[in-house]
Amino acid sequence: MNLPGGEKLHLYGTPGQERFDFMWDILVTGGIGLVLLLDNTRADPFLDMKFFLDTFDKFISETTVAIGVTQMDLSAKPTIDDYHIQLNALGLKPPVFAVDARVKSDVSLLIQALLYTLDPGLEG
Amino acid sequence: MDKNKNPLKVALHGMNERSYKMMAMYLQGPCKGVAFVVGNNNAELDIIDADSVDGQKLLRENAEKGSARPVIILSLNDEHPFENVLCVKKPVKTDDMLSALAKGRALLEQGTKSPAMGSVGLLEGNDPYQAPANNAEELVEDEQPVLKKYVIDSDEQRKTSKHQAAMQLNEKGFGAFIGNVTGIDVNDPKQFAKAHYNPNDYFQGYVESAFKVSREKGQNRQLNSGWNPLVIFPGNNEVWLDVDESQVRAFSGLAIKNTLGSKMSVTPLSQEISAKEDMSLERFHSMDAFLWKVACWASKGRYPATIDIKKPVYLKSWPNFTRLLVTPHALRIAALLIQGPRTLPNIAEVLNIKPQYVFVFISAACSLGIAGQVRREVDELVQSPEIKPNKNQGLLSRILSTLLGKKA
Repeated sequence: MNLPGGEKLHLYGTPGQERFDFMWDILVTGGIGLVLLLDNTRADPFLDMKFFLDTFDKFISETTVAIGVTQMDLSAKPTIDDYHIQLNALGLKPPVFAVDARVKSDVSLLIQALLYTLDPGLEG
Repeated sequence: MDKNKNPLKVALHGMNERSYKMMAMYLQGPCKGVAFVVGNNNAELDIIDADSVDGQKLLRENAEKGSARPVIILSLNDEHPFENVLCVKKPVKTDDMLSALAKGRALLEQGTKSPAMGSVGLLEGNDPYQAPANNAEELVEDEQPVLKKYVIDSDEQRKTSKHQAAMQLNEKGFGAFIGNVTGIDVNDPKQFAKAHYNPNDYFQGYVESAFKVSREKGQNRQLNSGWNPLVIFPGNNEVWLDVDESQVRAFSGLAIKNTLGSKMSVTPLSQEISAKEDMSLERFHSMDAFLWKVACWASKGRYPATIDIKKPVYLKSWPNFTRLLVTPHALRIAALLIQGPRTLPNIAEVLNIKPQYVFVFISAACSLGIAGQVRREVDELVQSPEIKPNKNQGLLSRILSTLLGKKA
């Protein structure tokens, strides 16, 4: 992404499989926040969510997290409300959006929400 | 008849989740969508894995009950004791499956009921999500991640209004799309006291009420208004309205209580609608997205009369913005309000935005029940924290500008 002023922003898709966990620490270094994409067709997406929230606990507490739930057109449950209930129980209130990761506006809104969570006073 | 325009609805039985998903994808892919998987209650044809642990039992039960639906058996064996079923040998070949599906379709079209196919659907009341386990490797060769069982419903995927990203409005588009109230400047603090509206006077109030009734009773209902009925499916969290958006927008902006109020009613679905088979898929909307929009159009930049503008409001959770109409500054307002309750003028002041954008957001969020007035005294006493600029504000602003398509 080419930013105003000539800077370039690189976005890294981090593999979620545990066998790639050695990369996670490297990739979050200097990161401004975590975008977590969860597959709603998985057997227990909440388990996935808790796993990653636990794994990146320190990074999230220092920055923030926004959650995108994918494949909701294939599997409508759990609902976005269900995610909020689970997150509330963990004392978290992050943005949770239904997302089609192939659709630019979906991903853009998720990142905008992440940025505003960091600073609601931001003006684009 | 174009088979792909009228695909067979099939239910799968005796498959574990991996086999189930694989078969659903197989029907969509190699079988080119000639059939697609639905829940047991909506199926026209059953496919049973006869080699599953419960396969023989399922087939026996089917024969005893006498299913009205054609049955395709998937089996490693050529021979089986059941008559009047269509057999496809494993590993399943596409030609064999297409042939069996064509025969099944022919049986349906002929209305043929074989002796083994009586009047009751297979495994009546059986939840397809709890189909018995089976050895997936017989059907499936690929290693798949652990996925739950779900129905690939091609109709669901074609409900574009329900699953597509909603519009993100900027300040310039607000007046044209949301509308303005004449005779009052909602952004003038001296006129704040008058800058409210009563949702119950508008279509919004009737929609909210109809949703409540429909959800409480767990029944499909229709909201009659002397206009096209709004059909509500609480089980799928969706509504259907055969009207263009511009018409809904105009209707939502009218105070109708005194004119159409007596015509408004919530009733069970009429036979005409229940029997309707050609419900246009793009006319489906999620209940939340529909109500959110209707509330925005009723509000026109005002706040709901139930809100005391001098007292703080809370936001319970972030709205699902990717599927809602995003009004100007809505994400900023949500980000601020999720940190703690604030009064509406305070939000506008802190974010340096016009109050109408706060009012319209609160109207929509209140309609979904995710925002409201704080009731505890402590929430009024404790001031929400000041927002501090992020140390990376410059970088974050530049990223944001790029996302919003603005030039530096």
